[in-house]
Amino acid sequence: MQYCETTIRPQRNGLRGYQLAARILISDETKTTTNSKGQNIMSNIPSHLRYTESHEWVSIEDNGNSRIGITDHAQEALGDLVFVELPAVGDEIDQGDPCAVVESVKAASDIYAPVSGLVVAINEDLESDPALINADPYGDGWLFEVELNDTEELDVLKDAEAYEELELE
Amino acid sequence: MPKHTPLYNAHIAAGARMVDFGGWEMPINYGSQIEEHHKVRQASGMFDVSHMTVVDILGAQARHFLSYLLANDVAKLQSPGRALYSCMLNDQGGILDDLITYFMHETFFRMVVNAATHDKDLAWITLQAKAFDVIVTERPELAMIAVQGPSARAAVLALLPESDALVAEQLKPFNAGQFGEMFIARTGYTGEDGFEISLPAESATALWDRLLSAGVAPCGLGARDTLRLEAGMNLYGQDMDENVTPLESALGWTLAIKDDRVFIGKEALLEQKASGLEWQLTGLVLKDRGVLRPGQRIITDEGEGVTTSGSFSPTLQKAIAFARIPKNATGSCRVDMRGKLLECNIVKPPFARNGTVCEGIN
Repeated sequence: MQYCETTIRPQRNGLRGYQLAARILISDETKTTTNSKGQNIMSNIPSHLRYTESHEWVSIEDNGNSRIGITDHAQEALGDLVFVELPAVGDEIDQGDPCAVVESVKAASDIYAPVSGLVVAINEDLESDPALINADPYGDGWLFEVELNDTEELDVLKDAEAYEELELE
Repeated sequence: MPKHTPLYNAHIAAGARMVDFGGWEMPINYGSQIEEHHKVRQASGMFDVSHMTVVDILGAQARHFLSYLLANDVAKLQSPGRALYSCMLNDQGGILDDLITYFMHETFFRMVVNAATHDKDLAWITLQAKAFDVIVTERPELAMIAVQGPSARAAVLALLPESDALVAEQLKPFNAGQFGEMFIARTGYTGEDGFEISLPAESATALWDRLLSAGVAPCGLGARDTLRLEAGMNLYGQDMDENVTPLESALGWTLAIKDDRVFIGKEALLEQKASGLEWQLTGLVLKDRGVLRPGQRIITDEGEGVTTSGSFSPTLQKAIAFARIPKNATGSCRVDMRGKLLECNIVKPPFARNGTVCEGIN
């Protein structure tokens, strides 16, 4: 015994749903403090990426493909990641559809395809080390790479500024 | 407005991620839940559990009252400071809460009950107390810090005056004593050795800071949950509630049912025993990759069941769960994980205690 109510229950509504269910309370005070590792709690939002409301990021690589991952804010909210289920190379994914799952100690979250296209690569290192997503969400913690069907789909995604506003809501 | 414990500012200063938890704003972790978990298994960590409710039962009939109120028997409490884990049942044998009772002296027993059940518990205890010569007093002015891990007791003892430290060092498991303003109990919810310390709210931050300086890691409710799950300890509201009895919740060992003592829920328990149990609460280890979660469907040879708690076990490096499944199911079973059926071993918790994986867990 000696615990309270329930633990954070798994949410199957994606990262956004997770946040609604177990909202990390970031007060004005916590925004300016640092965590136990001395990192600033304010999340990192690189300006060269595009973002979704469900907290995925999308890059445009030199070969025209897009890499996809989850944002710093998302990894922070989920906590230690322990399992990742990725699409297979050769899968066709459609914008807005669930196509992968990331699981932390406390919750499972769907990853929604930010763009439509053919999966051409997956980050195989995540199988043995899902914590790469926590350590480097925009770099070594990428999830998979897609050959885009339609580059116009990128236009509906948010830029860094718009995503930051969403986070602050 | 969420409620804050006296240690709220200390959590913020330590970089805690705060979550709303049954109306309390509490730390879920201070960076990495898994690192905090390992700290407790291998060294020492501390948890703010000030949100839990301390209820003192005072009066000439205190023992008599608790003998009627609780499913375990306070007759086992004979020496001052002795602690007893028990369920508090309703008339149907359903679990209203699980709690620890401390025997202070013959007219003074202290109970520590869950935070989320505060209102319900107080209403029930007060109602039942009407027929007895007792006074029920809540102690909201007390803060509580759980210091847990193989080096936890040494860290606390080093902060006590020498004469107190010599006595506190001799406390056996499930025993407590008053040392100055601190009530120190050798109890916990992690499967590790340690102390749970109650003290006046205004002294809590000073103790927290001294423990921090001594190298005790602040740990959040996230690590507390994976530690108690590995240790085979139930979480009220998740692994058990008013709809199940202790017999269906792996808590038969906490029932003192064999003698002629009368207590609330006893008749229902005897009936259930006589008619035969349908369910057991037991442990699962996932053989495949993935994470077990509460509420997943379990398929056994004897019929279906459901997981009540589930997570990734940092000690086993595998997913583990508690599940309520048909009484006679053994061996292996399957879990429905997003439509895929994955194989689990049925095991008897605990999964891990005292820094290591328990025997027979695979």
